[in-house]
Amino acid sequence: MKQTANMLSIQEMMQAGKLTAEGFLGTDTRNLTEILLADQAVVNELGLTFKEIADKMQAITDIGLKMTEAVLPVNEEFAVQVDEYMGFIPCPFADNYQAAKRNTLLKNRRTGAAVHWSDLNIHMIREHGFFEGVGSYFRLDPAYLISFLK
Amino acid sequence: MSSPAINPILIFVAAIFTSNMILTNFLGMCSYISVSSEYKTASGLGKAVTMVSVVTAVISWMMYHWVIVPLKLEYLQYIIFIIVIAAIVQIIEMALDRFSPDLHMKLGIFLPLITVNCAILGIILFMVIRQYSFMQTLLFSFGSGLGWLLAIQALAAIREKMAKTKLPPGLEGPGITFIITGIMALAFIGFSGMVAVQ
Amino acid sequence: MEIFITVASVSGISTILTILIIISERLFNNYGTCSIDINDGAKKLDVEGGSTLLSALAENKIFIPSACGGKATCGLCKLRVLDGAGPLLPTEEPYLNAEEKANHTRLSCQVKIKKNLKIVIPEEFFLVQEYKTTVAKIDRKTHDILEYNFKLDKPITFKAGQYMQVKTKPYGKVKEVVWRAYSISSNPSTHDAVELIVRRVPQGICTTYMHDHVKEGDIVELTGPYGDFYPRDTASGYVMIAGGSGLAPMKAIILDMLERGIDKQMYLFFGAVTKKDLYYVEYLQELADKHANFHFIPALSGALPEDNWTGEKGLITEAVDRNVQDITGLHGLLCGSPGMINACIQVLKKKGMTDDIIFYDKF
Repeated sequence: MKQTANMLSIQEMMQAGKLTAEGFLGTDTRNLTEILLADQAVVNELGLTFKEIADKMQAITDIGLKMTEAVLPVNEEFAVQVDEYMGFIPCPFADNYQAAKRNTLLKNRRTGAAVHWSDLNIHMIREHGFFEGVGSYFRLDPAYLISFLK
Repeated sequence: MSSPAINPILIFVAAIFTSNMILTNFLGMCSYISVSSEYKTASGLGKAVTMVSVVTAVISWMMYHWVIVPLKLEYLQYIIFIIVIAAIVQIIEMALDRFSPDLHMKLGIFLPLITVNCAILGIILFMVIRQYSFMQTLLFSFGSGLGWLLAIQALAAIREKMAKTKLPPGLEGPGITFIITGIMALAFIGFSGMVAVQ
Repeated sequence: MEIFITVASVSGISTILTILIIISERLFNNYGTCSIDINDGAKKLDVEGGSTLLSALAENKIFIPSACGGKATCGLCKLRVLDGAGPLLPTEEPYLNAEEKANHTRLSCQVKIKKNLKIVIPEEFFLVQEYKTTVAKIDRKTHDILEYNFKLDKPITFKAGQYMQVKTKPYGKVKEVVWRAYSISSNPSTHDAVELIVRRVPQGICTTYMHDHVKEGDIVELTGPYGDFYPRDTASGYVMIAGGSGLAPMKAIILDMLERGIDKQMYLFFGAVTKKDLYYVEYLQELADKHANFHFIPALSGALPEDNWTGEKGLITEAVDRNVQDITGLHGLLCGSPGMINACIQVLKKKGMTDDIIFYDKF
């Protein structure tokens, strides 16, 4: 489907090598608008809002921030580790948001299943409903992510 | 080969309301549908379309009456009009970059996209078919451009207001846009017959 | 005959229109030669109009800091353009605060040179040069930190604490080049080489390039030195806190001050989680043993039993809290991730240190 010029220029910024090594769209063959609509449909069906998801992610990251690069318990089921690096990464949606280079790893202690996200993920979900393209290193499948956030 | 005896001002009004490019003639739909999700960008595009339609219509009128008809090249008119539109859009883009870089950057890729807007060619061909005089062409193209601007602004405003509503599955994006456009067109039918265009 | 008229007229019209376009281009896009007046006549440049201020200055060997290479995503290339720039562009807006807009600060990568300009360039930018360096040595410090020694093609003068910008080359799916900043960890008294510490960032364009595609003997382009992170003379001593790759500028500062015989008290706190994240420990401990005014306090927040760690335990902020009591006259020098820096600023302010004497790199 045709995209607005605005979306096209944002999609350009998401290509490999513009802001991150592999970009934000992974190996997805869909364009940005299609990805956003598809993920929005899933989130709507699960009865949540982007803000709710982002807030829960931020709360977990905040727990991990008490001591970075160490594994801290979130509750009996989950543990979190937050790693931080120097510098900032700008948001590809050209809204002048500079995200800290902070990665959160959330692990289910019993099953061993894990999900990871960056600070930029939290911002892009909250403000733009963007979970990254399939195949991207920081792609968050909405249903999979939400199963960790209960 | 004489032009219709209609006051150019009436043609101007008709071009905006009763003979609206989008809602009555359904021309220029591509960029209309895809660029109408944001009010600001839709406005910018509408103004650019208006500017292009006036300049190309005037130049095409001169081209038609001073080159095509005397040399009996009517069968080439489509090609010649397209070449003129493409060239004018290029020149306007450069002029805008020079004198108003702010506006040029805001319009961005929309400017070259106007070349393939069928409303522009449509205006020129209407001018040929209805044998408009120079003044009639000038006001007709200006009115048509404004009508296009009005239509896309209305659609963008509605879409922005509807951005957060839950729609039936599958209708997001183009689906609901076509439905809205259809309803607007039905409303504009109310204007038909009020002013003659040809 | 008809065919001739057809061909002639279509060709004629196309030619005329093409000529019109070429004329417009010459007319509209030709800005002629423009002069740039720098610092009220201190330096004057004549450049071809049409290019951006950033690239025109770079062509004249004046290098303004830029991480994104002109895409208006880093906001580092700010300069004051007193006269001659067009209206403020929407791409510049988000990066300028009210004060900057009032004093004519612009993003030099977005200012197109269309007529004569009057600009102000901070003095330190004139010291910035382009270096074609050869990678003399790559040393692994931890599982994700490498130390690079670059042999320069001409001598460099820099203040300890400043940083260099590294230019990447295209690799894999990355088609464009970027510049990224890394603090210099070598002593300023060495003028023919610089040492940089690079920590791998997941999905980072430059760190992936450096770690995976640069080998000893390769040619790497650097520009520098940049930055206003360096110890001020007005301090009677320094509380230096570093985490991760943030130890780099601290090492340069300490080597520099010890070599120049500056007798001020220096407290270097280095925070990590386990022993495997530490580096330079023996080196710095040796210096601390030899010099009474230099105190090295590494702290581990999650020491493992096999680390046999006898040093400070807990968060780096706790170590600072415990070991620094009287901050009179002391300045703060911080280098690390934004989270660590914020936490350390809180601790120092609680002890009474004011904002104006706490320094840290903002990149």
